[in-house]
Amino acid sequence: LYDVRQQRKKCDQGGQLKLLDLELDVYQGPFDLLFTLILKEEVDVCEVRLTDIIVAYLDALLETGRTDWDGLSEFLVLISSLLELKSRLLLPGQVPAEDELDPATAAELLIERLLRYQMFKGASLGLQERLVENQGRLLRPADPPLRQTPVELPAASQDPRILATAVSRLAQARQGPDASHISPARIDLRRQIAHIRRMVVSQGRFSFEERFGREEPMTQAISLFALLELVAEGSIRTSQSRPFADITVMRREGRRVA
Amino acid sequence: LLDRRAALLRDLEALLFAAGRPLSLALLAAGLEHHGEAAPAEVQDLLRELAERYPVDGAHGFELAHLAEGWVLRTNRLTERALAALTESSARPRLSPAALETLAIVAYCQPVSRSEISEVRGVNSDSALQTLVERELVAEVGRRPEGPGAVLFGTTDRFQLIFGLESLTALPPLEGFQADEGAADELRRRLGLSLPA
Repeated sequence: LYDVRQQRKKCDQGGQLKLLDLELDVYQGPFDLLFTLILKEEVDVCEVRLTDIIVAYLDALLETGRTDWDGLSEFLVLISSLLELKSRLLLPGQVPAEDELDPATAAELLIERLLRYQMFKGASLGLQERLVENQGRLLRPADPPLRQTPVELPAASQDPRILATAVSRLAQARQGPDASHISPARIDLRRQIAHIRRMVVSQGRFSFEERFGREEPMTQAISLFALLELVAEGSIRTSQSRPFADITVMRREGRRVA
Repeated sequence: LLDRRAALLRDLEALLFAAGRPLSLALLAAGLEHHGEAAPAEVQDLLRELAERYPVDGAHGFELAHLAEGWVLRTNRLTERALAALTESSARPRLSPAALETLAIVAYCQPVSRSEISEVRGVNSDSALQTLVERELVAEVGRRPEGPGAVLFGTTDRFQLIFGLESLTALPPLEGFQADEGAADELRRRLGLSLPA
């Protein structure tokens, strides 16, 4: 709550958001007042659908037809602090135990980062100058291409143990991801027999390739077993022009299949 | 018959002309081997003579430049307009501010990982990095030995060529780009923070 109040204080000068009128299930009135009520814990933020506020804000934005950047950033700051507050309240056990930075330290860290960024920004402008200074010159491409110059390594600079570690790491990386939490495909012979029976009844005939060709190998295999079962049972007929060609599955005339 | 020095100069010129990329002193010496062992000092002396013959921005159509820890012949900048009529590829490469910032970080912090670049810039820099890799200014140089082995990036010889650098140490020191004292206070003011006492 402390953070939210701080954000609120910072954003209070503009005040454009006072104009945003809300009609929510739990609250009707200006956004500004809602914020105050949440801070005073008179409205439970958990009962407020924040998406409704965002939609209302976007509607208001579209209506006015102009982009008020100050107001927009103010809104973003406030709504994100509400989101954080709400998510923390909804997941009380999940609050990370990390030490919260006090605002002063956080601000100093931010400034440090910004200064570091500015330094590289300056360096990039320096590079840009160099680029311009060195423009307008061409190298000729080598023809034929030069032989690759062998890299000379000092003798015995390579440790076979490093290679061994690297190779074993590669081997480890080859083990695929753990997919044990994904339930295996649910396919069994009895269900597949029933399925094919229904298809033969409803369609009269169908192509095995067309129907099962794009399924996973296990599904294809089970479907083939189901087919064999049905053939043995005498309830369907199959034809195949040559080995490994597509199988046409047909209803067996005069026999009940269902 | 040419004397030995004249023959060395002739061959050196041919090597530089044919290479199309900077040749190190060692490579040049290897190319001149059949004249009998050429000491690096001798090659250096020959290069000095060629540099006088083909000075940068001089009267010739090409010039000898010391770039990327090697020596290379390239066209004189003053011939740019003549070449523009014939060449398709622009001799004026352009880079977006994002790409230049990313390049600066790679140049000064190499070897550096994607996440370290993004951390400095405060935004994901993958696409800027990709552009630099495609333009052959930056390349993968290895993986971090510890942790999950993040891919590390460094600048290429082409980077030094295009930016006219004799070597990476010829980059102006990063500290020179440090923001001045007032910058921190200016940032505090803009962030609405109080100034330290």
